[in-house]
Amino acid sequence: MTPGENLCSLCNEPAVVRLVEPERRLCAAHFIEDAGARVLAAMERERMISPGDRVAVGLSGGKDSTALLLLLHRFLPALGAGLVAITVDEGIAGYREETLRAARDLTGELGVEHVIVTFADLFGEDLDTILVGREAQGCTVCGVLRRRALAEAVKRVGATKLATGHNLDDEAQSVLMNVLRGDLPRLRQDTSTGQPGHFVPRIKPLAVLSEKEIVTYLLLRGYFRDLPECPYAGTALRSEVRTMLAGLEHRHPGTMVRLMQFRDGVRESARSAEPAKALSTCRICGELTSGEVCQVCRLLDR
Amino acid sequence: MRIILPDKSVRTVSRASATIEEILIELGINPTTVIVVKNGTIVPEDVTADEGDEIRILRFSHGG
Repeated sequence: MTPGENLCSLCNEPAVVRLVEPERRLCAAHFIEDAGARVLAAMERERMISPGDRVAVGLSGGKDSTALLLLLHRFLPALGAGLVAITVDEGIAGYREETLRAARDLTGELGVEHVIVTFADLFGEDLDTILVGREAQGCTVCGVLRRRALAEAVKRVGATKLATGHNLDDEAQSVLMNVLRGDLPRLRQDTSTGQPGHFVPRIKPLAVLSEKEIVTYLLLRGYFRDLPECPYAGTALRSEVRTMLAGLEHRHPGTMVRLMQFRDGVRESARSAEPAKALSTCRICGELTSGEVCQVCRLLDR
Repeated sequence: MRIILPDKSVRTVSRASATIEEILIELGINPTTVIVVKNGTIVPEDVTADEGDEIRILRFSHGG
């Protein structure tokens, strides 16, 4: 493909991406439109937004949540919904400061209400302190506490939906990880409906865009920042699955989308086969749990 | 051609015209994990690069 042949399918400007299903080449302006249109179509198809919703965006300040806020800021007014950004400051020295600054800059520029909650405020200690002596469990511990922190922030701001920046790669990796762990309950778990009184519905509008498409979108719009990597990043299994899936996606384009279709098929057939297991409330904190004591209380030795 | 790798080190390669995908694979880089900027513009990986071109490879590996 010579540069002279690499032209946008819509306007004949030089193409910046080549996409499949349908096969097309797009210039910068048309790729920005195309990516936004796919996210909007997913929100409408899956009825993610209702008029009157107050949508909280989990804004870490990293690439995915930055793209999510930009897109929701563009689309929500027309859907009749409001927007608030919430950031969880876990307390990770040398990492979180810069992403917090990025989050503040973006919400300031867009004029979006921004609320920050901290692990120190919610759990009495920051993540660095909680992890002393068990640094290798960093992602697991942080994941459990961050979910609780986001749920708490959602309550504080009175949001009716929580939007997170999970992209297609994240979601496909999770499907494969659940398969490799033999974890059918987690594969079936659908958080998009919420649990009245405990969790608002959780929506993932970016799950139709690959990580590469999101970075391309941000580069083209001038919002890409090369931020530091979390010092606790890289749990063994996700890291291996990420590499494996990237290889499969290159040799067999569409692998990640087909994994998502597989997950949706499993959820659909499981839904009709048997009712989901009932959840109880934690005897220590009163939040939902599948056992007697929730993961947060167990992790914090309450 | 001049290739700027994800770690920002620079490699000068003397070779005939090749697609960017071929160049990435020779470097041991999976094309789905990077974005390529040729002479200052993002391009699809099936575009060819020639002597005199500058190829910048951007890796995006961390969460967000």
